[in-house]
Amino acid sequence: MSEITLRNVCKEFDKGHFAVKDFNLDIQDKEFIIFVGPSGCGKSTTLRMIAGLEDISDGELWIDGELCNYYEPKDRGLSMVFQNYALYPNMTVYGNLAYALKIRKVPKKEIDERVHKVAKTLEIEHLLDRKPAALSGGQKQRVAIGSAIIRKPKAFLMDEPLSNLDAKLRAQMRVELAKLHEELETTIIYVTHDQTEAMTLGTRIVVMKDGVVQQVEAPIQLYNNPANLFVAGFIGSPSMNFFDAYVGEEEGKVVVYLGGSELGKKVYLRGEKAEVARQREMNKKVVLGIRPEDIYDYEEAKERGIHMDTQGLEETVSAREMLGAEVILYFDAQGKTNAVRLSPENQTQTGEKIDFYFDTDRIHIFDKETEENIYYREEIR
Amino acid sequence: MSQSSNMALRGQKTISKEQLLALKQEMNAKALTRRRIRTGGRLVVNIVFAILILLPLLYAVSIAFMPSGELFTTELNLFPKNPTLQNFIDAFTTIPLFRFVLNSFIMAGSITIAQIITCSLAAFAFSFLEFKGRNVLFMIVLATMMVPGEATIVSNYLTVGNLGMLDTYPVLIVPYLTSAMGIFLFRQFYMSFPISLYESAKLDGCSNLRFIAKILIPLTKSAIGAMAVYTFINSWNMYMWPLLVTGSNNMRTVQIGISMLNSVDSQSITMMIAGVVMVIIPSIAIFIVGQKQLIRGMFSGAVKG
Repeated sequence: MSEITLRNVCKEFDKGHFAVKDFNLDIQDKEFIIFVGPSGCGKSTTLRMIAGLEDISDGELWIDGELCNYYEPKDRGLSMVFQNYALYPNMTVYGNLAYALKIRKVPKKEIDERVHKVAKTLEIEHLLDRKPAALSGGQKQRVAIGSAIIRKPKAFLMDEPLSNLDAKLRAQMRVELAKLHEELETTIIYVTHDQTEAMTLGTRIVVMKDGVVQQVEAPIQLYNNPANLFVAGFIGSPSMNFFDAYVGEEEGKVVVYLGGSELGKKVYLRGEKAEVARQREMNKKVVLGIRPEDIYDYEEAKERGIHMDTQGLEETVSAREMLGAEVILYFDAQGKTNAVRLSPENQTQTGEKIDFYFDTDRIHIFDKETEENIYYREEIR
Repeated sequence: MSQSSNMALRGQKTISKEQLLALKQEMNAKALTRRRIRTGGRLVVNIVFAILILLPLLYAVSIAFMPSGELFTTELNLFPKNPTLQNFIDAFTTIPLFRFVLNSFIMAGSITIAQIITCSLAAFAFSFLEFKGRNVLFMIVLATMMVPGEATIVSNYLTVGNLGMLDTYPVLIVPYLTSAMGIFLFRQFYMSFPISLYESAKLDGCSNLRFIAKILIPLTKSAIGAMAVYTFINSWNMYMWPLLVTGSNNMRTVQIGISMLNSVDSQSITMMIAGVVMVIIPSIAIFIVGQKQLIRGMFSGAVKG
């Protein structure tokens, strides 16, 4: 059992300058929590505060019902995997794995058993006599993970553990980490700036920006139901397309004019989306967001019956990426490059014009001032 | 690609395998002689300069083996014609040289060990621990390096004199138990030490002292070696302070003692030189043992390997 709770946790570096502000989170047992955000958003600082490597300026940290603000790192029962592995270069792999147990005065026989068991799980048994300098990046990573799990901690803290590996190894280790989480059944708190890692590994994702939590949600909810402009833009690749727009009304229908009414590019909203937009943003400037896969060409739009919702969105393709299973077309609008993900049958080439159609059910509208998603619904737990 | 290059080759003159092999051997032989000539040339130049620089030292060694009659001639006597050990024996009988060497060893050894311990602990605090005024304190430590030793020597003498410590081992050692230079050197080494290792050790439950003993020291051996050589030679060569605070033969260090070989009444240059030669042997020995560490230590961290 391990439950970690953060209550209004703050980290103040200089007077008045907060690296982390009012961080609230309940982490359940066996959860795989991901802290994600751009560099400098405070995700690593939060992790280090949980580990005890940084002081908590304000707020409370509870681990299994105990207030741990002032506990020494070693007494918190957590173990951490560092970005640069942090293996002791003067000790063999065996020594590295055994070190934490040795300090805790675990009997030699038990240490030996546990080292071999962990080494077997991570398939590093043949490396036990080597020094870290003689290991490859992936092997070092395994040893680092091994020395974290050998202590049977309440929770693992991982600070960008895969960022020093090459792309292929990273993908491989990602899968293994997911497997390991299943096997060990412990809580993992994982920091990354890579949204692919976040989406694939996490049971819940904490998106942070400038030290403030933006949204905490399961990956798919985060993707489909972003709370604000930042989360919408951060999660997903290629990222969501944003257009400055204006909400108006035409013959009783709610219309979103892209870039202002005079351009004639408009999207008609339907049903609930139209009602919410009418109530909250009528005659106001907004930002319209739509993911690349929610934009269609004429054939597909007609098939789906959504070809009447969008008007006048004829764009020139500025680049075309054929990925085999899909084709990504890029077009420039409002000084930004936007992406559209279409089926590979679409033959539109660079420089050619094409009509695009939005799936209005999947549109997001963000308030221009607050940048909040007007369609965001807090999940009822 | 390979096809097109084949086509190009076909148009040119072709050579047989044997010819190719012969050509290769010929070129290799040429390259080898060229390399040998170059190495030989460098060696000669180096030897010439080495002899020039080492001449005074080598000449001193040579004089130490000369009977004094041979030295005072008008001819150039680079090598002793009748080598003798008499000068060494004389040096030992004239002054208690063994005792002086022992004193110097005790002093330099204690200072070296003490400085390594105190400086590495202080440097650890300055580079790994977070506390208020850390940088200011470090600046103050560094500032003491700007005060020349001679400036404080009189007041130091009065202090130890009042403490009744004159002419003892402690008076030779205590003022040099730590040094700003050593703290600075160690701190520079520790700054390049990955902090995550320290943090990882902390999470593993490692205390600070245990971290120093089991992880930091084994990983900074070269720094310690460099520091040890540097400190030992420095304290071996100390002159002013031992001269001031020691009076008896029992406490005199070798650098002071050696000057006792020079007596106004019966000056023997060969005997003095024999003494000097014996005195520099320990420093040279230490340097030979530690030079690898010294060079590696001084520059490790300068370029990330």
